[in-house]
Amino acid sequence: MLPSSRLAAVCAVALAATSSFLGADQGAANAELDFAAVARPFLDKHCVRCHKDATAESNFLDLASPSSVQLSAGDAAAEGAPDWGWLLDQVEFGDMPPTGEAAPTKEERAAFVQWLRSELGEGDGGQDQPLPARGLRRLTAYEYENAVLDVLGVSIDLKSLLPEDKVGHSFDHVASAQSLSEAHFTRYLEAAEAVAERAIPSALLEGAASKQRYFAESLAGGRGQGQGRLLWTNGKVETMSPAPCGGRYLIRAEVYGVQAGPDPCRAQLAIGDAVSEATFDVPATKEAPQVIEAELMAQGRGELTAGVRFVNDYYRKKTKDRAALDRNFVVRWIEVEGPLDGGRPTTFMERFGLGADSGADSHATPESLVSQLAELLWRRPLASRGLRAMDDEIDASVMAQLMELSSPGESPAHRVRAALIGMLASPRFLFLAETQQRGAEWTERGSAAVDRHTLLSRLTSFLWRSLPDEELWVWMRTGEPRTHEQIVARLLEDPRADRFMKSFADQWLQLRATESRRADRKAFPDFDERLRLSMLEETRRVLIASLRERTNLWELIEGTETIVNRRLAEHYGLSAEAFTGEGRLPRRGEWLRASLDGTSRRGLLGHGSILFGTSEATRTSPVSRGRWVLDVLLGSAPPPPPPGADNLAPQKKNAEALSLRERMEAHRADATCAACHARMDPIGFGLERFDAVGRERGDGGEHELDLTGKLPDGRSFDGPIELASILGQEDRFLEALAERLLVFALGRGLERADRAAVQHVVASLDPEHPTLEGMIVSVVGLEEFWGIAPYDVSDKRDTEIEDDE
Amino acid sequence: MTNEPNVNDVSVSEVSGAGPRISSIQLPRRTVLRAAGVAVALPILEAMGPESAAPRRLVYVYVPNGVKVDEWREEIPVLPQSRVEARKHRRHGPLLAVGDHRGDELPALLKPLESIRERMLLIRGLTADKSRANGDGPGDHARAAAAFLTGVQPLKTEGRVRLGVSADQVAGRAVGGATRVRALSLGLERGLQSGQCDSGYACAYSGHISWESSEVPAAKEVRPQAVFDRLFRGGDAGLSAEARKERRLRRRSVLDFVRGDAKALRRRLGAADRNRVDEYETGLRELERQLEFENSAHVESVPDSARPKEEERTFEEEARLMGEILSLALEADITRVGTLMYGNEGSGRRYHEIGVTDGHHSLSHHAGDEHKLEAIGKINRLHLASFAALVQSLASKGRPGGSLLDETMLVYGSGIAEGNRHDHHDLPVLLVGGESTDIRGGRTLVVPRETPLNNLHAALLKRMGVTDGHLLGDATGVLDGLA
Repeated sequence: MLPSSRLAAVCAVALAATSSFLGADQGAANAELDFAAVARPFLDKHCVRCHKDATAESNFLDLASPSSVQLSAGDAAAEGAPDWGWLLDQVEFGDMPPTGEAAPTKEERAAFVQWLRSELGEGDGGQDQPLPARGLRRLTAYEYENAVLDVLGVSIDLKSLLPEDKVGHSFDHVASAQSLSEAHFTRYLEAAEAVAERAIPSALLEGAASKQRYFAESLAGGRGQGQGRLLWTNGKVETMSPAPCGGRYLIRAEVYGVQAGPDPCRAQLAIGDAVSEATFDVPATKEAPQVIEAELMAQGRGELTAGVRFVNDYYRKKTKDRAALDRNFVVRWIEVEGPLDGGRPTTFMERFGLGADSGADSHATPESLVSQLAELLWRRPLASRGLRAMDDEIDASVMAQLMELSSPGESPAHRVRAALIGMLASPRFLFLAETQQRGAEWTERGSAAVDRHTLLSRLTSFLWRSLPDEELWVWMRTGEPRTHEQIVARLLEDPRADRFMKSFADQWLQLRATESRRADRKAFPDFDERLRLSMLEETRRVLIASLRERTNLWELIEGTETIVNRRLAEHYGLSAEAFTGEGRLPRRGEWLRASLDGTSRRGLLGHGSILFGTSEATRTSPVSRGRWVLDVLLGSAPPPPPPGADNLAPQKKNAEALSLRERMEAHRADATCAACHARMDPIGFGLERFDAVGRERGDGGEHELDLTGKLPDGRSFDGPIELASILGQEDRFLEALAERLLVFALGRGLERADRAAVQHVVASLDPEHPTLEGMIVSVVGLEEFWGIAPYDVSDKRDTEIEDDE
Repeated sequence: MTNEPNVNDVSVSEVSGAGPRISSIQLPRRTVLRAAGVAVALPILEAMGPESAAPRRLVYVYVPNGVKVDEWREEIPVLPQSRVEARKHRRHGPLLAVGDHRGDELPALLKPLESIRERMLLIRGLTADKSRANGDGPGDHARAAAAFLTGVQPLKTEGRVRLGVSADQVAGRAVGGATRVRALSLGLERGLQSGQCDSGYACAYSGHISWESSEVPAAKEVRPQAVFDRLFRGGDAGLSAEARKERRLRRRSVLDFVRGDAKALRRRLGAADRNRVDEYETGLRELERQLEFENSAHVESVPDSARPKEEERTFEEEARLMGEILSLALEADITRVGTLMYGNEGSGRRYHEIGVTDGHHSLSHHAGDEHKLEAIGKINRLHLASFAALVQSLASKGRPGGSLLDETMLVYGSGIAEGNRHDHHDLPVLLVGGESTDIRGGRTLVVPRETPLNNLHAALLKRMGVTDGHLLGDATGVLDGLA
C-alpha cells in the first residue's frame, strides 16, 4: 500500500516546500544537526556496512552520504538516494537491519523510528498536507451491472461486453489504474444497446413472437456429451440467452435418458420462475430421443432462460453381484416460441410507467420519463427551467438532444429506448465526475466539500458498488438534513451492502487468485469445483456476518467460529457437536455456524479458501502462506526475490534427503534471502498443520509435523493456534486493514500524506471492540472522503512526476 | 498538437503514443520518438496498381517466463575475449560469432516447426535493455512484457501507467487504416485480478504487450466467442442485415450526441482528468472510423461452424481457437497486424492436461532442478506446437498465387530468456517470414551482443512501410541480415 519510491520522492518535495514556507532556514539547519546526532550514528552502526553506495552490490542504496532527510530526498533523481518513508517501514517492522547483522536493540530501533517519523511529518502533524487528488474514475463492470439493476431494474450479465477492469493498488476500481483503449468505446455502446434491449425488448415493441431453437453449444448446465448436454445428477440444462420479456411461451426440448434403476428418467420444463406442473416421463434412449413440450407463463422478472430439469437421478454403487447403476439425462436442444400473448412489460417498463396496463404514471410523456432517467443515471438534477445550468446540474439543451435521438412520430417506448442508449453511452453515466458544493469554503488542506449528489454517489459506490436509486434520493430529500452516520447506517442496513463486503473481501484477501486454480487430481481426488466455491462462500459469509453483527475485528484472527455447508463440514472433519445451534450437520444447500473448538482452525487462517489459495497444486507452500499473512494481514509485503537469487537448493544427488524445512533453512543461510524469509517462513511453518486443500493434518504419518516457528523479533510459537494468538497482538493488523479500506473507499492509492488519516481511523475505533462498521463510519467522516482536491494541485503533481527522469 | 486525425494519415503525436492528450512539456522524454517530422508511409492499398507489393501482415506471439534455453538455442561458436571484455559483459553472456549459422538439426524444443524450417529465422543476441532494473529494483516480469514491443522502461507505479506505443500499434496505424481493426490484440489469460502483480508495477504491464499510447494498453480480447462475434458477426450473431443497417444509423446519432456531451464534461475538469475524457473521445473517433466498415462487419465467408463454443478448455484448444480467429481475421483482411499473448508475463498457469500441476512461474524458478526443467520443457513444447498450428493455418489459407503465410511475418518470443535468472539479453526470438516478406529462413542469425530488440521491430516495421521505426523506443538502427 506504500507509494512507489518515485511518488514518495515527489511527496517529500512537497514536504520540503512546506517546511521552508513555514519559515526559517533555521528549521533546515536544525534538521541537519538532528540528523547528525540521531540518524548518522544509527545508520553508520547498523546499515552502512551493506548499503554504502549506489552500486548494485549495495542494493542501489546509499546510506553513507545523506546528511539530512530533506536534502537527499529533494534530489530524487540521484542514484541511490534513499526513500525515507520506505526506509521507515523497513526499520519499523524489523525487516532491516536483518538479524545476525549488528542488529539494533529494541530501544535503538524505537528511537530511530520515532525520530524519522516526526522528521517525515507523520507524528501528530501530517494533517496539514494538501489533500491528494482522486482522479476521474469510471464505473467498473461490476458497478455498471449493479447500477442498471438498481436504477433500471434490468438484470444483465455484461462481463463479455464491458472492458476488463485493471487492478491497481490491489483493487479493480482505482482511478489511476483505469484506462480506456480505443476498442473500449464500442463495448460501451454495445453494452448500452444490450441494456436498452433488456429494458424495452424490441419483441415487445413489434409485438411479434419468435421461434428459436438452441442446440448444445448455446446451452449451459451439465457437461457436453456428443450432440447434447448430459446431466449426471439432478440439475438443469438451460439456454444461455434469455427470452426478451415475460409472457406465454411454448417450450420444447429434445431429450433422452441413460436409463437405469426402476423408473424411467423424469424431467420438467421451465422458463424463468415458471416450472411445468407436469413431470415428464422420458423413457427414450439415445437411439430414439423424444420431444417434450409445455406452454408456460413466464413472469417478467429475473433471468428468463428456458430450461429442462432432471429430477430423479439414481445411482447404485457397484457390488460383487452387479455393475454400478447410474441414471443420467441428456438434452439435445431446447426451443422457445413466444411471447404468444404479445408479452408482458418488463420490470423497467412497469417501474417507469411504460407498460400498457400500468396505472398512475401512464400519462407521463416520453420527455418527462427521459428527464427522470437522466437525473437517476447521471446523478444530477436538471437545471431549473430557463436558467443556465450550474456545474452540478444537467442543462436543458442536453435533454432536447436526447429526444432528438428518435423522431417525434415514434411511440413513447421507442423514444425512451433511444434516449436510454444515449444516456448509458454518455460520459456522464460512465464517469464519476464530481463537483464541489456551491459556496463551500476551502479547508486548511486546500480542499472543499463535495455537493450532496457527489457525496451520495461516492457513498453508494463505496457501500453498494452501485448508484443511488430513486428511493434513496427521495429519502435524502425528505426530513432533516442527513448526517454521514445516518446515511452510512441506512446504506449498511440494505442487503446491497453485501456487495461491498463481497468485492472488498475478494480483493483484500486475494481470493480471486483461486479463480482458475485447481488442485492436483491425483494428490487430492476429493477436490472439485464445488469445494472451491464452497470455500470462497465460507469466507464471504463469515465477513458479511462480521459486518452485519458488528463482530470484533480480532475475531478474524483468533475467532473460533465459522459458517460452513455440508461439504465443508465434512472437508474440515467437523462433527455434529460442532454445530451447537442445531446439533446436526448442515443439510444440502444449508449454511450453519460451527464452533471450531477442538480444531486447529482460528480466524481467517483456518479458511480453506486462503489455505488453498496459498498452496501449489500438489503441496503446501509455507513461503506463500507466510507472504500472504505479511502482505494481507499485516500490510507489509516482502519484495519478490531479487533476480538471480536461487530458489530452494535442489535435492542433491547422493546427499541424504532433506526435508522441506531443512532446505528452506539452508536457503535462509544466504543473507540476501534471510531478511524476508526469516519473516515469511516461520509463519508458513506454523500453518503446516493444514494441507494444500486446507484439511487438517494429523500428527504422525510420513513426516512428523514440526509446527514451531520463531519470528525475527524472537517470539516463538508452536502450531496455528499459538500463531493466531501472536498475530492477535499485532496492532498492525487494524492499521493494514484500515489502509486497504481507505484505498477501496477513495478509489486511489495512498500517499504519505494519508498516513494521518489511517492513524485517525484506527484511533477512532473502540479498543475493546473494534468493528468494520466502526472503521467505515470513521473513513466516511474523513476529509479524504468528503473533500475534493482542487485541480491545480493534481496538475502540479503530474508535472512533477513527469520531470523525474 | 494535431487536428482530428485522418484515417489515412498518421501524425507524429499519434505514433509517439503521447497523442494530443498531454502537452509537450509533460511528455516523458523516453516515450517520444526521437525526431520530429516522422513521416509514415501511406497504407498499402489494393488500388495502388498491379505493380505494388502484396499487402504484408505482422503477427507477434508472446510467451511468458522465458524458455528452456539449452533446448532452444543452436550451438554457436564462442569467440575468445579479453578479461576486461569478459568482466564488462559478465552479465551479458559469452561472445558469440556474429553471422549466419546452421546446425544439422533443429534444437529439441523447435522440432514442432521442422516442416517450416526453411521459413524460420532464429535470432540470437537481441536484448531488451528496458526490461532490466536500471535502478528500478525488482519487477522483471512486468518489465519484460511492457518493454517487449515498446523498448521503453515502464514507470514503476501501481497506479497510472507510463510506457510508450508498441511496434504492432505503429504498424497498425500505418497499414491498418485500410482495415476495420487497425491492430488486433488477443490473449489467452485475462488480466491478473489479485493483489500486487509484480513488485509495485501496475497489473497492466504484465498483461499487455500492445500499447496504443504511453498510457493506454490496447484492449486485449481473451474470450474466443466474444471476439469471434465482434470480428465476424458485427457484435451480434443474431442480427439481420436490415437490423444492422438500422443500428448503424442509430449509432451515428448516439455518437453525435455523446461527442457533444464529452465536450461539456471536459470543460468542468482539471487537466489530469481531461486525459481520461480524451481517451474516451479517442475511442469515439475509432468507432466512427469502424462504422465506415460496417458493411464488412458481418463476414459472410466465415462460416457459423467456426464460432467457438463456450466451454472450459485446455491450453492447446484455447491457443488453436485464438490462432484460428487471428488467421481468419487476417484472411478476411479485417486487420493486418495482430498480437497474441499465450500467457501474461509471470503467468502461474497450471498445465494439468500435460501433467504439469505446478504453476508455470514457480517452475521457471527451477534452480537447476531436473524435474522442474523437464516440466518447463513440456510447457515450451506445447506453446511451440500451438504456434506451429497457427503457422500451418496461415499456410492453408489461399491467396492468388500462394498462401496467406507468404505475405505474413510472425515473431515468436519472450522478454525473458532464462526464467530462473530473469535475464533479458540473448532473448529467445524466432521469426517466420513468408515468401514475399524479404526474410531468409533456415538459419540462426547471430547479431552483436546487446543489440536492442527494437532494431528487429524496426526492420519489420520497414517491411510494413514504416520508414522510421528505428526511432521507436530504444532502437539504435534497423536490424540487418534478415534477408
